[in-house]
Amino acid sequence: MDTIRVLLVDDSPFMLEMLKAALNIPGIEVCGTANNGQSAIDIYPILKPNLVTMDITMPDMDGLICSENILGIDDQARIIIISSMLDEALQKRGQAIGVKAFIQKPVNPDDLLFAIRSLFADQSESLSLEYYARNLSFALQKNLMLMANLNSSIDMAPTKKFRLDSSGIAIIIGITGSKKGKATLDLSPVTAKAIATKIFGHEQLSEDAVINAITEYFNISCGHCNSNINNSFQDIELRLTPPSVAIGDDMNLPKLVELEYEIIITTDSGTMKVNLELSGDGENGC
Amino acid sequence: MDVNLINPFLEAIRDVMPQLGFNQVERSKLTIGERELSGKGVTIIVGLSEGANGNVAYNMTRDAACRIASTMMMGAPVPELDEMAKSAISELGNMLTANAATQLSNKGLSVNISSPSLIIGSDFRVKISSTKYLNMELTIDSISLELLIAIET
Repeated sequence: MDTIRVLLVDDSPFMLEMLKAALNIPGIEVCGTANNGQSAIDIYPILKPNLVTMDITMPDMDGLICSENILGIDDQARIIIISSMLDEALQKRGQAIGVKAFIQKPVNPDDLLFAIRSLFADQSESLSLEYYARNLSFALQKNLMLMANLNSSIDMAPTKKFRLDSSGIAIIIGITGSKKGKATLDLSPVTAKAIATKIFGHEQLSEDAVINAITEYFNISCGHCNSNINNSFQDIELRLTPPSVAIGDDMNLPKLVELEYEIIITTDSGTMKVNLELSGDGENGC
Repeated sequence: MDVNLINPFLEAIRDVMPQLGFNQVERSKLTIGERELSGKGVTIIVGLSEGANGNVAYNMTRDAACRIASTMMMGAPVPELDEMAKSAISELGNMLTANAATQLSNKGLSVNISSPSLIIGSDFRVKISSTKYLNMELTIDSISLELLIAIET
């Protein structure tokens, strides 16, 4: 994808700096800032940004009025409302105008990047295995931080291996609905224990408690991934099946389809692998 | 677990297996399992969602898997569980569960199924439910197959 050029609209110099910092990543360029509604409307046709982030409360006008004006200039304008107040009424008003996304302050950079990716994905991409893998990676990373306060790095690529040699615990969650597939999280008992210890905050954990914690982490992550995808694609509705867990010292899970994605999550507490399979039409699975 | 949810799975086996070249399906023991089941060597898991939620597993020895794959491949010898045999066995799990899902849908319980997962190993256990599951022992042309069902509406 080409660089996404962003116009930031906010009357707070602090917020503008925060947003600039959050968007200081490859593929995104902050092409301009405006500290009130009228400047944003004036500068939009000159800069022709791909995306606008819009504050609501500004001295000269409401961010929604400003958005309406910008959409009057360019009905394809992509606008993300970034506001400290974010209730349902405001979202409804925004959606009626044509605003695509809403984020509440303080802004979590991951949420912002995710909203941006989703905004651009639904136009330029269909739901591919790679797109799902990217979403799942994001959810896995985010929930690892939320639940276990663990930083992680992600490696994601189609796997050439013909089977997943299990490290001891394999958690399988099926994907149904508009697509059919499954995701398998594999990790060693030592890694599972270390991550569960982080989640619970203590070490006195039975094997069951460890496995339940990791299973819940994976289930929540897959759930978030599916919700995000369902929200991003009008014609897609994905569901999950309840997790099943295989535990053993000697087991492997053969790859059954041509293309699988492998996501490797590296943390200080150990490494986890997710193998992902997703195929065309899941209607009734036949 | 509702017995009306179980019958479609047995019916699916009775319906599909003859189409794959098997002659006789016999049902022997029916037991309730708790917690984990012990993998016999080859286990196929398929998830269900929507009208009924849960997992179904097909558990068999490596030898049984080879014999089933052999029959599915028109009697071609299957001395070991190679790629083709694994593919055949996982397709069996897919077909049986899809057939059962169709029957459940015909009863007004719309069910979707996931892709099958195949687990192969000499030492593993599988948890398909957080509570109980039903274990139906079947003999298909003298080959033992365990059908494990853990679904809820």
